[in-house]
Amino acid sequence: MSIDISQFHDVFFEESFEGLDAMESGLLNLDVGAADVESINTIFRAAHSIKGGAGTFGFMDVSEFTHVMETLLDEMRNGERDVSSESTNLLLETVDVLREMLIAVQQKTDTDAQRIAEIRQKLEAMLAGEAAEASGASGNPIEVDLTADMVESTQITIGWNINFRPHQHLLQTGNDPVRMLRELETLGELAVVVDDSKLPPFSDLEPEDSYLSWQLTLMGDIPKEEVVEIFEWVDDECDLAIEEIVGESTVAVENTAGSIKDESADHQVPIIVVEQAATKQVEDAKPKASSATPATTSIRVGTDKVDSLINLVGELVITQSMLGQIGDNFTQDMLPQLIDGLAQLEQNTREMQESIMRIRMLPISFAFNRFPRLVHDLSGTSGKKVELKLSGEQTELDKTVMEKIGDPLVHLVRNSLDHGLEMPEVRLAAGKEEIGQLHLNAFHQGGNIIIEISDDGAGLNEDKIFNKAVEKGLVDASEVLSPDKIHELIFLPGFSTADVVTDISGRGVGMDVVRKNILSLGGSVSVVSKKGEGSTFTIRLPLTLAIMDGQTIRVAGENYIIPLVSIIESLEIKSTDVKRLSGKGELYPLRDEYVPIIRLYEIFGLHPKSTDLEDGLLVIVEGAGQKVGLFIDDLLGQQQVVIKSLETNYRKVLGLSGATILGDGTVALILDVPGLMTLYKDPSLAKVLINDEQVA
Amino acid sequence: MSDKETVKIDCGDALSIADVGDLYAELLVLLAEGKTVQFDASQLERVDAAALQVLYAYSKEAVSNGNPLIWDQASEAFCRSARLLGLAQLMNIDKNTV
Repeated sequence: MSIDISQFHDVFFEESFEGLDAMESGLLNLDVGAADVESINTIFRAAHSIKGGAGTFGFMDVSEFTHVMETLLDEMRNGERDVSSESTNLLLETVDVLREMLIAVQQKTDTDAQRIAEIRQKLEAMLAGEAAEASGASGNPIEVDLTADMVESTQITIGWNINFRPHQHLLQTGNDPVRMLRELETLGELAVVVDDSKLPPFSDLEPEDSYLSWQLTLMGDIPKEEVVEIFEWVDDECDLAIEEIVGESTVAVENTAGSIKDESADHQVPIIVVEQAATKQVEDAKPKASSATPATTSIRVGTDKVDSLINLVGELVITQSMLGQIGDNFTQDMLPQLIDGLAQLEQNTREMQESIMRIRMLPISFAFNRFPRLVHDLSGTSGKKVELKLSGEQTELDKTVMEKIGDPLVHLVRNSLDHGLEMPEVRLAAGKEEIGQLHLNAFHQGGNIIIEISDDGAGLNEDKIFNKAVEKGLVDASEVLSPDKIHELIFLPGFSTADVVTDISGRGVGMDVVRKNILSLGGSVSVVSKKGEGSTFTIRLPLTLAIMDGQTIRVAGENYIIPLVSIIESLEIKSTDVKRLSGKGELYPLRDEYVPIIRLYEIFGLHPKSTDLEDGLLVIVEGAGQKVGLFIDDLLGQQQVVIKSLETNYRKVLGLSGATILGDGTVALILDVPGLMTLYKDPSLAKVLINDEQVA
Repeated sequence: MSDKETVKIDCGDALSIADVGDLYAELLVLLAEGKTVQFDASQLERVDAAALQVLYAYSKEAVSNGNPLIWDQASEAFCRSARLLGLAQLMNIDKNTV
């Protein structure tokens, strides 16, 4: 019976990406020159697991590439090589390449062979350049590598001397030298000399400990990887030295990289067949699915959360059974029992919902973890000195929200580094510490999560922003804007004040997209800044996208839901208070400001009994930093609603963020306040909506 | 040798690290009693390094005590595993096979 190991691919990829994250954060924490052994061990173990897993699943390119990296780490671990900024940076690059390779394997896309070969060459050069390093010559890595190529091309491997010294507990880990040596024997001619010098007198023997070691000579033209692979799972459990036995060769000089590639292709043959078969199966099942579609994502859930869910299901079953019994023999006097049962059911359902939502919650450290690397790289590129502080990493957030907030966060951090923090000399001249501070903080507030990105840099330059806005025709030069309003200008499309377009923050396609993305998550972003002291961007996000608190409203006999988080207040108004502007609609004076009125029945093409503002209510809502009043017939009630995507089931509709099914089985559309504002500003878009609705 | 009592141990068809604790304890007693041990390894199809190590350690000790163990019909699988670990000659497996 054969096992289809492709079923374990997802787990392998997930664990490998976690391993890469661990490697990256470990590398960033390595102190140059005095790295602590445990940190290197952590990085080594992650690399080792990826190598082993990749080998098992037949991803030989990944396995071989990781092996070179692992060798370098092993030398660091054994104290044979110092941790230098050069080696750390190379290892970080290696992590990037490895991540790209894994993504390519996962999505069945092509890898950047040139980049892989380049990094591999650098790694091999660094390994081969040890002697040069020791003698004080730094040397050009590429030159060293070329030399290595030449040496290899004039000599051929005729065998391997293997010194295999198991550690005390090797046997107890389920590894068996008999099996390993048997596998070695299949590769070539094996000569074995056992060393029993560590074997104690029989009476002192611990029968499960390992005392024997072996000097092995394996003759044949065998790739080192094949030999190493056999010892792959005992790497941590033994001392292993594999020395090449070389013989003279008259073979012409050939491209080493090419030969490696060919070899790996040979090893892969049977595995490729399996993969192709698997791919074909998928393609048959889903003919239209793209081969580059990312694999389904998964969440690792603590067993405690699953156990709690199982308990809740148990209670639900009991309640259901109780209600079933009541239903079977129902009499009027059982009404109190029925009511109790239904209350119990409601409680069970609510608890279950909360419990399930908790499963989707992940600590925001998943999103934050990429920033130490980003800051490390960017500070290296820009020459700025930055200290990154992370706090609130354990604050939990829905996985979908987390995935979608990643890019906006990256953009804000890049912006802080590029525009906010100053060069060291500028900071010193301004009387600040040379090292700039960048702080990422997350915390819960009400039903939201707040993420703050703050820096102690130059702050927003209000004059510069204003002038730029005038130049771009976004504001009139004669307008007098408060500092807050000026800060808001940076969120306008195409706005950029960077004197020079840099690699870091791009080409001014930025803050507007950041805001748009955050708004699409039902969140908001704002900025507080003080010139010379720094800026703080605050992102407010709902904890989840799946369920929200909503206010049910009625418009012309139809039910709609307004997200509770958008509502400021609702009020009855007098028609006489409303100012009507020619061509600009109606405005209601709400305390010290005028709020535009949106008549929802007009937007949705409905015909209410009355269009008189005094017959209905005005719900003041806020979206995209602006207030509007929604004219409705009535407020019905507040409830938690499960959001069903319109895009998935129909198509995207401006002004609506989704739909939900109410308790009575009817469907209610959920209003998207920023979308409604867009419709209010450009009524021509509403016509499209109305036409579509009528067709539907 | 012939006047000493010989104890036969049947190795069964598999001997692994799971069995070495008991095997060791048994051999330790026999060693202390100075008995000659005759192993029946004729059915032994699977043997791992832990088991071979115990047998080798015992064999070495027994030889130095002038009381070498006897291999009774060592199976091919057993001989091959011992050879792989470089122990076959040291344990005199081929010579002592009855």
